[in-house]
Amino acid sequence: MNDLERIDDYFSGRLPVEERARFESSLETDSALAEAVAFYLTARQAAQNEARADRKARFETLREESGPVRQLPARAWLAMAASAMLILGLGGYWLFQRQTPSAAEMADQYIHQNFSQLPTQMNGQTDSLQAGIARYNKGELPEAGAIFNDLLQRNPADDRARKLAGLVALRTGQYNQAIDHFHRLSERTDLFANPGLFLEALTRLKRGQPDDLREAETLLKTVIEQNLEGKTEAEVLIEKL
Amino acid sequence: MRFFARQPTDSDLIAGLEAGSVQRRQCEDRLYQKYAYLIADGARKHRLGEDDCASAYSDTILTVIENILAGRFEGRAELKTYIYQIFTNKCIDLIRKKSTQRDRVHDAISLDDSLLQLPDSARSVVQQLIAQSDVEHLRKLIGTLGEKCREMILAWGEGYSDEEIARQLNYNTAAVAKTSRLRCLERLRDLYK
Repeated sequence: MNDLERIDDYFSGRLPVEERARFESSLETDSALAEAVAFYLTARQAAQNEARADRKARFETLREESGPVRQLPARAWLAMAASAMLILGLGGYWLFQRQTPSAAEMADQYIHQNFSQLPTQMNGQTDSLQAGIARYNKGELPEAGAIFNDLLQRNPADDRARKLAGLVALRTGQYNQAIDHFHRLSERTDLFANPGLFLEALTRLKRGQPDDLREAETLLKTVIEQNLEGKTEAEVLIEKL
Repeated sequence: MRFFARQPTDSDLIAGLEAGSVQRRQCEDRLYQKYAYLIADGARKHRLGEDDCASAYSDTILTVIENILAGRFEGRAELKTYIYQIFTNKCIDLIRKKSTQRDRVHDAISLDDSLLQLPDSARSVVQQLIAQSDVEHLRKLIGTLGEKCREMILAWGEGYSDEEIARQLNYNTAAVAKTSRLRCLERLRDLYK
């Protein structure tokens, strides 16, 4: 065990009691050990400061992405409500157009909330699928897509790789590919839970081609009627269409 | 999971932060976004620039996260109130800094409670050595370690356990992550010498 490991074990509470006492008494006489401890604690502080700076930069990016956020005073809310009523009265036609922006926004919100990060396996195994998920979670979508597509080439029946390849395509705006993946996934009848139809509906809402809204509506109704995966979310979405 | 909720509840966010790993990062971002309206609020009330307020707000959220993870937020006040109080103090600090031109007045090294683990006699020896250390230089050196080592050292600095580091960085076991982390630390020490 080298000095840094011993120090690490000490501050993590992993040293046995006797060894702890020996460590503490050596500190008073062993200047090299004291220096190593000082380095260890300073390095951790430096790491903490650097991590903090990284996270501040990440927050700044979030701020830039979302634009200025303001909480409006009550008067402004009232004015907005009145304006909304007016718009509803005058512009009802537009609000009931089939391709409403709110449906696309809901799809966006759903995708952002649920597919920005994917759950990873807790057992520490690193297979290709997990490596792809790790890339995905880092935002390295093309690399993740290559891994999932490679898995699919080797085994076209791999439903997890199919779903993930579809998600990469969805998030990178390759909606035709995403629809193809999700459609093929939905045709599988041997899966315990199959989100294919719901994900296809979501992708069609994002793509927004002339027939997509109608198709998405039909798919969502099927998800609800057949009690498929995504039913609860489908019920919320369909109300917005 | 609350798919279409516009904002997660504070208790969900706190639970997510405490859960660690990827979930912690997501909840950090969501917590930041949830109360981001305070930036404009602070700029108006304290007559500060929006960028200054955004920086104070980021510091606030990071402090709140650290306090939650260290068990220092006891839930006696609502999280929103707690954030608002810390944010207000940070804005006032910012005004003071601007008026006294002492930009780095609060940037002194604040080592965590680790030092308190040491017995008094040993602590004073280590404290003297730390006082001679150059944290900023070490920060720069961390950036030269290579991406994997840097990520690992930063995760350690943020308080992630070796189990969590192993999961995030795809190591087979926590023991492997620990060995790699200590090797990175050893390399950092060699650079620092």
